[in-house]
Amino acid sequence: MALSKYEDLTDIHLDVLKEVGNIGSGNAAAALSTLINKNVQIQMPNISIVPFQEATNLSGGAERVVAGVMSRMVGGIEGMILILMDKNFVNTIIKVFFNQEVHGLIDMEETVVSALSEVGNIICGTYVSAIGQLTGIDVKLASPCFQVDMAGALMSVPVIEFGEVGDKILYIDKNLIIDGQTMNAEVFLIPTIDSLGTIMTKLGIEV
Amino acid sequence: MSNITIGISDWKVCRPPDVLITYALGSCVGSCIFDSKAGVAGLSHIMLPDSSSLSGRDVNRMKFADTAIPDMVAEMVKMGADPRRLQAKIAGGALMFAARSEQFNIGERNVAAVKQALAKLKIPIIASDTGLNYGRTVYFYGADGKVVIKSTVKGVNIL
Repeated sequence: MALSKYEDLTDIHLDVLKEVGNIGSGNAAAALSTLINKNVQIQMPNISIVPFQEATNLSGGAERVVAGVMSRMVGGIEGMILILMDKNFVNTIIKVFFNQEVHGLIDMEETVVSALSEVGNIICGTYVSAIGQLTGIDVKLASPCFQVDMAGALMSVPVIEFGEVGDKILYIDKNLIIDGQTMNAEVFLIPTIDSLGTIMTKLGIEV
Repeated sequence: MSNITIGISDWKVCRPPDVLITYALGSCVGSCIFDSKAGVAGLSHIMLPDSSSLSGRDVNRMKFADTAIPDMVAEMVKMGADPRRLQAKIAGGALMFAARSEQFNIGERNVAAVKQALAKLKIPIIASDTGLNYGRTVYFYGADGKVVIKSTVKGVNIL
């Protein structure tokens, strides 16, 4: 039986995805630590396959304002990856690069946006390389897009893209502790259903 | 009076003064349909334009413009709304991430599909706030058909 929607995933499939999430989160912490030259700890990420109805409500509601970086996976695996960063997280990054803070996320300067996009892109890359590490499949990222808005509105993008094949997405919620301060970043990893099948087959797991 | 929340791929109907709310529409489209005389209002939050390519499969009819809107209107008529008196206001259908790589604009397609579904039912669209690149939360007051749209970027817009 071929995978045709996220609901068809069995526990074994879910465990594989969770492992991708775990490795990716570890990579992300290491990459971030190098980038900002600070001690970055990562709490055990909460990784789940959730109905998207619930995903918007998981951490703080659909209307909270966040900075989102979205990238497309291309190559051996296709799909989308979206990272939502809260204000604390954004400020930590900005402080390192520009020695300043923002009061709100709206109307940030071009240089700040470009730095945040790059950080988002690097984090996206760590998850994509986790897929590569596990499966040996060569996955690349297209150039990232950046937008600040309500979390629910940003999340609707990957949800819609794959909405025809299911009502669930892979959601990774993690708290980062940077120099003793806790901040939050959420990651939505959405390979197409065909690519999910490819990942499982590569790992010798029946689909 | 109570507030009724409509999730993504969902629709609900109510009698005023209840208020229908849907949060953070991105590329999705919210359709507010009402007959103030009969006191019936409905709000649908669709995420995709068209269910026809999935025919034969078990689909969530509330997800698609072509199925959600006629279903909700049928329910409103059951509650006493007069199809000839129904009017609509629509919001959403944004392009959240503007990228050259985006081959097609799903928000735009959603708006077109909602317009088509409403035209089929001969329901006029008397106001709209669609497109551009930001999210919208919709508060729909069925008593007089007032729609309040809140966005992070553009503030409040009243239809």
